[in-house]
Amino acid sequence: MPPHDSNSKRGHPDVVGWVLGALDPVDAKRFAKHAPSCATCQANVSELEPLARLFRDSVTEVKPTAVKPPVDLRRRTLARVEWAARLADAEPALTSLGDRTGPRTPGAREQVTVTPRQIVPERKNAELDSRVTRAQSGSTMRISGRRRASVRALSLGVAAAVAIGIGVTVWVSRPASANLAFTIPLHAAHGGTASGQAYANHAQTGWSIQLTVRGLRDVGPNRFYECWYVGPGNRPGHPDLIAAGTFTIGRSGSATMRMWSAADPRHFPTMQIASEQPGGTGQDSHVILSGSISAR
Amino acid sequence: MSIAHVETQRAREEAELVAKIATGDIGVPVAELYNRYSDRLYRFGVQVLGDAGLAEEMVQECFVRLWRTAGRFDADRGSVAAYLFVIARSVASDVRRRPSSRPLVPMDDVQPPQADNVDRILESMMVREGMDALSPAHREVLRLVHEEDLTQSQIAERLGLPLGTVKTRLFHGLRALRTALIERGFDATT
Repeated sequence: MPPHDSNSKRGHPDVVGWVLGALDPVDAKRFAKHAPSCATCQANVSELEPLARLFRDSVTEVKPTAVKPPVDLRRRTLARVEWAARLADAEPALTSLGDRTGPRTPGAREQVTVTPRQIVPERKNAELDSRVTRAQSGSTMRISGRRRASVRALSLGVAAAVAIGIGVTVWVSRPASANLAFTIPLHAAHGGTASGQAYANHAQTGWSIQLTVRGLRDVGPNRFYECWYVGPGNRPGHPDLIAAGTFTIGRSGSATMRMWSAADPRHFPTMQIASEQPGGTGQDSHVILSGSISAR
Repeated sequence: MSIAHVETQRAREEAELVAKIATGDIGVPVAELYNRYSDRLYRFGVQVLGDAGLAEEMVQECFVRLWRTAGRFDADRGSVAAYLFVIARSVASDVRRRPSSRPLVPMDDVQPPQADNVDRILESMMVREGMDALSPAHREVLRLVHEEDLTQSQIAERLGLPLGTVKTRLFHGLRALRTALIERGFDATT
């Protein structure tokens, strides 16, 4: 082997083979003897070793996958960021969920981290809790404890419920804007006499929803009803849903309740009322009522 | 936020996009970054979480957190790509910890890794993407070293090349891999 010129730009011809562990035994022995007395080789080894280690340690079990995100994920993602930004502008009602990506700057304005949780009925989140006002007509309205949340009561006109993990319901008592409102007539999804309607009015910090249901049967102690906002991209395997709240129904089968949500009916134009059970897999979610928005 | 000393054109562009997001200009900058990184983030989510629905959730949350923390991004400390994948690791970890995060659309050909393998998965994905960016000649010699554990002489014999040519290709191939990783925001020099 010709004498090596350590001053060449490329360095020793075996330095790359050395860091990759690809030298033949004879060459490896020769390089090992040469390197300690060669500053250039030591520098080259130091420079290339981290990359070579990364290369050697990279796992071949990471199979190449050609999967691409669904086309509508772009719209949903941009809408979610925009939604979070709007909520952040709505002060002082909203409380940050906690930014896990970095420390808080003392004195910095709280940024709202609430984001809509888009989940399928099959997915249950035991961490989120939210509350709604009591029902008015004979049934007890209570958002169940399936989800964990922290609720802060605020001064007159303002209250906020904050969910941890996957969803948020925002409470305000400011007068709703009269400029933007929708009606959502609800019809029995599989026949039957159940019906309802929801009136959605846009407020400064979200949407005030008045939901009235009729003809719902008492589903018993182990089940409840859940209200969902459904986006146009929703389909099996590609959820486009926001949970709005859960409720139970009394013997009258009727109830009127008020909910608050940041979900914009223009983006989630369909509302569904489904019968579900806590702690289940959601596979037995059964849509009872369904309807789509119409401008008032 | 300083965007001085940013090495590449792409890194500079992306640092400026994040700067705009930090000032409240969300729409176009977020959309552009989504166009550039959604595929990789989604693939990472699928690899780590083993579920398409959870991967979608992860992608969305990544951009929300990018918006939320845009004011803290410092281009002098790293690229937007690296920053996004730091966020992605954190979000994936959070999603995995949720009790309700059961796979809904399990990917048949992907097994979710153990929690402590997430970084390794990410690094492996980066290496694979970097390798895909190499010339066929460079990629082949590196592949033979990595996957078949061949020595330089064995590679020369396998490919019918002079030993010197193999050494040269390994040298340039490894450096090209480093460049490819840096372009993807992955600093493999430490």
